Amino acid sequence: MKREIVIHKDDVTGESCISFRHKSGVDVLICPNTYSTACAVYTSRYGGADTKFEYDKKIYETPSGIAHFLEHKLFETEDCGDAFRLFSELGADSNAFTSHQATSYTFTSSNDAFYDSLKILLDFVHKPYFTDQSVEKERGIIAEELKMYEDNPDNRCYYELMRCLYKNNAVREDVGGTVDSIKEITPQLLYLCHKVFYSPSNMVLIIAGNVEYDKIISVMDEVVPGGKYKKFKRLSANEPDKAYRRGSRLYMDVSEPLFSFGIKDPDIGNKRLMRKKSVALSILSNMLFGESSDLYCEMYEKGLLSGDIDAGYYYGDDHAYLSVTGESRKPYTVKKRIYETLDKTVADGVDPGEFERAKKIFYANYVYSLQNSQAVAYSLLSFYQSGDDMIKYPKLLSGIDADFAVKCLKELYKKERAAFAVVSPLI
Amino acid sequence: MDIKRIRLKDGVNLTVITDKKFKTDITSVSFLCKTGPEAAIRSSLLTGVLSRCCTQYPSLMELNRTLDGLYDAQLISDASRRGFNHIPTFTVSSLNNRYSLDKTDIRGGCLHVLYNIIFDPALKNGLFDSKIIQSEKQQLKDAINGIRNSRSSYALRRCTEALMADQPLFAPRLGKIEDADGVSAASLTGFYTDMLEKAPVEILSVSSDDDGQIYEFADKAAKRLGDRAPVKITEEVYKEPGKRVKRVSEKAGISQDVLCIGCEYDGCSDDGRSADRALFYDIFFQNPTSYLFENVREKLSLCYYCSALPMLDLKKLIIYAGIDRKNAKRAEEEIIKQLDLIKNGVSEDMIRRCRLALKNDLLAVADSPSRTAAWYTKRVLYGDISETIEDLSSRLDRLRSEDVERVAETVKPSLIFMMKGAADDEA
Repeated sequence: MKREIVIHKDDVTGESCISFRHKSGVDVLICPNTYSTACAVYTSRYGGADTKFEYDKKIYETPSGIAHFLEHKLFETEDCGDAFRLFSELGADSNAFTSHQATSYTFTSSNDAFYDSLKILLDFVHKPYFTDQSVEKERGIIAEELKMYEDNPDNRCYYELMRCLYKNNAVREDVGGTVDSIKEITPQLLYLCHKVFYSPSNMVLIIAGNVEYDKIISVMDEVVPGGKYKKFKRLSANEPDKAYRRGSRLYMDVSEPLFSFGIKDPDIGNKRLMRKKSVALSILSNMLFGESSDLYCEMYEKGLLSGDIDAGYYYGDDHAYLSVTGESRKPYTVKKRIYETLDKTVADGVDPGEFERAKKIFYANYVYSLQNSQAVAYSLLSFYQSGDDMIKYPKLLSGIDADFAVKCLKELYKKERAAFAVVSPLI
Repeated sequence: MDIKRIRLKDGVNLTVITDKKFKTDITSVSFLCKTGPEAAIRSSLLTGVLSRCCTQYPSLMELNRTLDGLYDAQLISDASRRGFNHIPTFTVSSLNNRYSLDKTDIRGGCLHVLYNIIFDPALKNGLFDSKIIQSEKQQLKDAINGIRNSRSSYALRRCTEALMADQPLFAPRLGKIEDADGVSAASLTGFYTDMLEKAPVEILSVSSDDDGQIYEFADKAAKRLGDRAPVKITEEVYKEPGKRVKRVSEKAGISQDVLCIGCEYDGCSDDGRSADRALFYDIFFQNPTSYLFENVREKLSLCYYCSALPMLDLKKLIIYAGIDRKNAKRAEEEIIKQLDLIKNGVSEDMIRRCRLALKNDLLAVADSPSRTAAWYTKRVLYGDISETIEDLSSRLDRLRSEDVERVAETVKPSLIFMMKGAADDEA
């Protein structure tokens, strides 16, 4: 099969990106640069939310946390060694992470050690090896990881919001599952999920560094398995348009309340439009609630907000929401001000000049993400997962104006879609 | 990478680091202030008050919007501690001018903001505005209390306080909450005036080009600063621990206990052994094949995280892990066993792998403007920038097992601190 190679160049920053599909089915994106280190990320489009799927004419429902469990276990190799040690032989720094949508394996190495490290990465991810004993051992480690997150108030507040917004979608469950759900995970289940979701056509390889295209192809030809794989189908739960619950309050050992406000967006059909809408609503929410906003400055000066506030629009394959999170001794006063700000914006619009100033923040964040090979690779992955091209981002940004952003907000903002979660100090 | 160090006045220095590959510019001004709890609280309060507004930008909103207009320039005011000295540092970080889309002089604008924040504060009748002081006191109290929300950070802070209990000069980085109410407009203004008159000053610039603007900024700053004594950091003196290891525990509303093993730790920041220590850290706890990761986590499944925090300036090192109560004793014994194993010698293979990892990480430091800035900030505060990133890298090549053993020998457990959750206290 002929490889179709596409080269994109951004004239504003001078960055370029090469993309193509390898003969095995793996999508490949390469961002060449002159840094002293290079980074590769190998990602399966299989994440914590993929718990229900159809494969080989059967429907499977797996315990939550299995994608994350698989991430931990894949590092173990058949000869009782582990991939960490293999990377360490080359001085490469390796890691992995799982989100609701994907599982990624990554390393950063010197340019000299890059191709040998790449060989290890592409090899171990496709060679699962699990035993009852090794799965049992990992269960203990993961249970401690889950307990650590259980003690993390930010994490708890985020999931409280997700559980308010969503009734059935798997994004309401922790990516890592629960101490109980991981008890159901067996080597057989892990092998099954690996077979279904780690076929080359469900993978993407992202590389940033001072690298050569031909050498990458040569490593891929040698290591990535060929062959035919059966297709799978993700089964998403039906999800109502309205928020499942309008609010929740959880008590933890925290110094002051944390809050998380969200609006669920059911309109996620058009992927091309999603990217533009996502950027527009992120700029707008930053302008309305970020550190230069009337709301933030007023609440900060009154001592009602502590530290930073985060506002943005986020989406995945089957969900999308706008959120505003922070810490406040009076979270319900903040909630009231958030609604007032949204009502006013929908009624009156915003100052286009202020919107243009807020756009500069997003352009700057894009350039900041090009600071080193690892940052570039992670940024490329994030854009890829959104179905977009990182290099075209400055152009996308320049095509967004205040009117479009306010129009998106008007379509999104319905009170029955909104929810407010609070984590309060123990009484 | 080009490095210049210029003495502007006695006790006032400028360090300029340039590298064409950097996309951002970072400029920081650090004041090496006094020792003791009073200096700690004033130093941290001052960073909040000065970065809140100034004569030219009289409100938080005006200041933040100016920074947004400079392509999301980040003004970071931070109160750090080295040894017993408290160090207010004011940093501005921004895109390099070549990324400006509308010919805005980002660098010039940022240096202008930085100068005004430090040297032209908004005063009322010669004193800081007491309303702003009150508001920043509340923010500071929230920040100090907020450390509780990060369980391991809070446990580390409490363990450090227990280790330093007999040292009257010691104060936590942000100071103590109970000292905040004693700070008046007059005392804070006095601290500020004293800082400008007497504290040694280090100006550091990391950027892609040596365009002259930093020299204009430094000259202008130096005109506001007189001669003063050079940098001298007061460090803790090493104390041989007693024969009995002390035990302290504290309750918190958490589901996972945090075990901290506080150790006395001998060495000096300028003793020429930074490479030896870096290699010891990698072998002991940093590398994924380190003694703690491979044994305490991977082989025995006792925890998800097990790491260490070296505080050479305080002559302390704390090893910490999130653990299940029933595993506490075993984890403690195993961690100490791993430390003892290093004291008895490390394989050449381990040294080779960790050396490679460290050398790769140093390449990543040199790729990143923020990591480069952090590297040299640490060194300029000790008045010595003679050790470059490349120096440390080449010194790693000469290290042997006995060098690592020598560092390990200086780590001696003296305190077992447990942050305990709500589970029944049986262990």
